[in-house]
Amino acid sequence: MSVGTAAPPAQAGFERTWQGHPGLRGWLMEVNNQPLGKRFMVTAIIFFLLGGVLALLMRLQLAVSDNDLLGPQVFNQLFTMHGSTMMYLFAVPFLEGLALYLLPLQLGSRDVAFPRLTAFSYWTYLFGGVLFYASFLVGVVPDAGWFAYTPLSGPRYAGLGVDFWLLGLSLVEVAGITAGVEILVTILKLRAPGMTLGRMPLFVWTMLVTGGMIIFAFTVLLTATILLELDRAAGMAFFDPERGGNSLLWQHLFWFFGHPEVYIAFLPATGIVSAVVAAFARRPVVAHVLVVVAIVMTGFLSFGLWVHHMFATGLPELAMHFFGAASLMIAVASGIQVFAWIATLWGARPDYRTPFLYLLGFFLIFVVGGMTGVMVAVVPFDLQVHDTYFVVAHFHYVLIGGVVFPVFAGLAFWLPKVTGRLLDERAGAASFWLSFVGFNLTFFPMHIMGFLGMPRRVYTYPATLGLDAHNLVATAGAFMIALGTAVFIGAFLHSLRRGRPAGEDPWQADTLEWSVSSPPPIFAFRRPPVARGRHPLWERGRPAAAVEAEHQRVTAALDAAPTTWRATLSTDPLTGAPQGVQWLPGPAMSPFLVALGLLIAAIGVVANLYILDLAGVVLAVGALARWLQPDEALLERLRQDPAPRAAGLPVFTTGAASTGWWGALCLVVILGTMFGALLYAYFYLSLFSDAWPQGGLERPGWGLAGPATGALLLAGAGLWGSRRAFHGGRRAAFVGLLGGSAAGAAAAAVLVLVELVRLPFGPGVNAYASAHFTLSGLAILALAMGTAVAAATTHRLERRLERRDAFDTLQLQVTTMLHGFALVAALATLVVLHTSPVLL
Amino acid sequence: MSGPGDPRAGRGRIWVGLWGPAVAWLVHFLAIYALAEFGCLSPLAERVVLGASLVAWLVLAVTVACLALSGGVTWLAWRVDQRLSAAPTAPATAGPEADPGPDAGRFAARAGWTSGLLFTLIIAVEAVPVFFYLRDCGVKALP
Ligand code: HEM
Ligand SMILES: [Cu+2]
Repeated sequence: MSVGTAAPPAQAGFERTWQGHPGLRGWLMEVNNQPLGKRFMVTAIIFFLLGGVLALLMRLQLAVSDNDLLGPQVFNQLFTMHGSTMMYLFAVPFLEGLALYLLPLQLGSRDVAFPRLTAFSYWTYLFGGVLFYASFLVGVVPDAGWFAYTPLSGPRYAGLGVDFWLLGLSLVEVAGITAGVEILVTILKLRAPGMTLGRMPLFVWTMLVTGGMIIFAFTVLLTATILLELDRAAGMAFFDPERGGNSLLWQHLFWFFGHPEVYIAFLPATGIVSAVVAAFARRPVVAHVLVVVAIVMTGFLSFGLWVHHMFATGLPELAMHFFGAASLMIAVASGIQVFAWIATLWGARPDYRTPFLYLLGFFLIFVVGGMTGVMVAVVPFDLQVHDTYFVVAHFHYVLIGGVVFPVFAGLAFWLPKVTGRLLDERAGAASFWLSFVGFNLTFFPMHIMGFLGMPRRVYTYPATLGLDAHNLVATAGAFMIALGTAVFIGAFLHSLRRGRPAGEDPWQADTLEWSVSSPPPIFAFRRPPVARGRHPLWERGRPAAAVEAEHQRVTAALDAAPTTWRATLSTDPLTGAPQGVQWLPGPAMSPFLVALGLLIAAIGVVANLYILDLAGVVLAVGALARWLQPDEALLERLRQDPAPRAAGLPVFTTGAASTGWWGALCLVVILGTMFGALLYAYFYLSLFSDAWPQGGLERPGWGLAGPATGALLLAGAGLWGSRRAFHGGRRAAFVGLLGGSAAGAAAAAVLVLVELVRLPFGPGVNAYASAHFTLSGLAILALAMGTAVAAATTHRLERRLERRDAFDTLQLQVTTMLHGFALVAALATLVVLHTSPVLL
Repeated sequence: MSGPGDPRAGRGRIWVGLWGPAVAWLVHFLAIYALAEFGCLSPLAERVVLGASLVAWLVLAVTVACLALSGGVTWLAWRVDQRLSAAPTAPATAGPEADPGPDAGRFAARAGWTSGLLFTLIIAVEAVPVFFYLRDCGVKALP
């Protein structure tokens, strides 16, 4: 099979199709993963530098005893903003940006699965971060710590700063969740032909597991932040013990996110490490299957650890020991990875260039952090060092060793791909040594300070404690780290102009991103690549299997094609066999507008201007509707295009073969997790109440909920019947059933709303009432979504019924998932709210 | 189509083999957490039957069930691996409805039984604390 190049005119058309629009408008409308991935990373690094400046200020305050440079109030704000910036605005967004940039290149795809969602994710992230920092402008900086424990963060003790924190964080969480969906679906669906599950690079495996973790963990945190904001802005009582609320509920919800969060940052970092180890050892990471299993294990087990942050809160001992056992087990998973890397490097003769230096730094630091981690997983030990500088030392060893050093290794490794230029090696080595030595100077003494009784989060200490020398060394070390970072950035800026050209594959690495030019063209691959093995670039000489000829035929047909619309290959999640030519959207303004709407609504909440909320929601919903509206002319063009036919593949696929189905599934999982977290809160609150409902309130009867339940059941039947009518081509029945189903859901939503309005108590009287109103409200929102989707689908498919094709079938499938989910979730909510669950 | 001697290791079985043990662990962990958190405050904790509280008995029952589930899936994945390894390396076919080729299937089966062994071990280890709290749950939570 010859690798013939397409005729020049077609090629020019292909390239034009992939170009973004010029100017500011084009910048706002950008959807391609490469520019957006770069924006994500640059923004995250800027936040990293801001967080670093805050850390330096803290270290200045702590340099000598009895210092009053900053004072207690400012110190509280600094550690809150520093911790929050590093955890929410730097670590995870940076790694997501790296993944969004790199995954398509590594998988052999031209872009990610939902390009407009990438843009939406970036804008919500940026807006959230800006809202966070806007608190400095207004002079009310968050000061309740990076985990914002209630009641400190509740309405009684914390001012407007915490509102900035909660709303900024909510936007950042939305950004994280959407990026997680993007990552997940891209990995499952957009791999190069021949890239079976077993041939996926380890970095991709780590991102696959991370994407799944983000969806669960961030959604629970989003729910928690919304509940706390409801307490603060709407007078609810979830976390207010005086009205039957429970402060430990916040801790449970927060750490259900917070522990996985550490691994959400750490797992991709291990993916970076595996990539760099393999490239520098010039051989595959040993025990590939075992390493994959360790990655999956880390992802799952990290959800079984949240209570280990609450050992000092007085839970039943039995529960605490379950978590203690799980905490020890996760060390097994990390151990597997560490030993696999060591075995891979054993006997190899790596070049000690910048990425490898940072890798060695990671090994040394992380092992210390892991050891102190096992120490604090032992319950009696934890009770001793809880809230001392020992813990500060521990988590900086884990976070800086386990995340920041790998990130710098990854930057040094992949920047030549991004910019096309190599970093200066001497500057790279200097930055490494400064950071490494500085790091240990800063944080090693903190272990000792902790044993000697220095508490964390305290703005100063008396000279009699005898810790002046330790603290001064730590402060000097912090400035060395800053210098190391500055040298790295200087080297990067220098390389942009003066760096030696990197060529395609400066490290002789194995994965597909190294097969394209540096920097890669905006469409990544003119002709989609075929993955011959797990290490495609090391296996170029291997004889091709019979199936590869088939894959080559497919990719040849897509060489510089299609020419008038953006497309990439979609493949089977297990085997990597081509399944379709996936259309990808071009520049669009709607993602920016939806994000802007959310920002305006968030500002409205902070400023107590409800007119802004309304405006923001209208803008967001309107832009979202435009985003989701199918473009019939475009669909017709796709149906006619010769390129997919030449490849022998469909343009539209259905079910698990399509990306849309997976996207809808993710949305259902996210909404289900929200319902789950709220139901957990409901039961948790009831557990610690003498009576439920609290305060002598009466559980609402079935007077309205009964008819609502009936409406939901009928709507479900209608939805089920409409599918049969659709496939049977019976138009009247289809319209009646699906339209009726939409109407049934709407009726149920109205009944639930009427019930809320007619209740003799408001949401603020006690925690029971808050939970009742919030669960009902979520059910109403879900039903509104279901109604809108079902109605829009009825409207469109009615006209398509005679000519229905795979796209229309997919639309009905997605509608069934979303609308069906809304019905089931609302039904479950009604049952829980109106019956007394047996156990209680 | 699959190679000769390869009695079609089905797609469903491959996915179950790959994720089954992890899911068994998740179910187990959430169940024993819920039993300890919610059960220890309920009358279940006070009822002692045959020398152990009902909470302890339930924890043990859930553990046995999840061990069986995880162990069963491990065995299943092991069998698939054996069968696919015995088959000569047949190429996977292309096309939307392609059968998982031996490459993908064997990888998934191998990852499945490896993770199965580990998760089974972890389920067992995590249940150990219950033997120290057979009659009560230890210090009560805050009221
Ligand atoms: C230049 C390097 C850094 C220095 C000098 C530094 C220093 C500090 C200091 C002095 C504190 C306050 C300790 C206390 O009084 O409780 C702190 C807290 C914290 N740092 Fe860092 N840090 C650095 C980098 C990082 C990084 C890279 C991360 C995360 C990726 C991070 C995450 C945190 C967190 C989560 C807290 C806790 C905040 C809280 O108590 O709410 N730090 N750091
Ligand atoms: Cu933890």
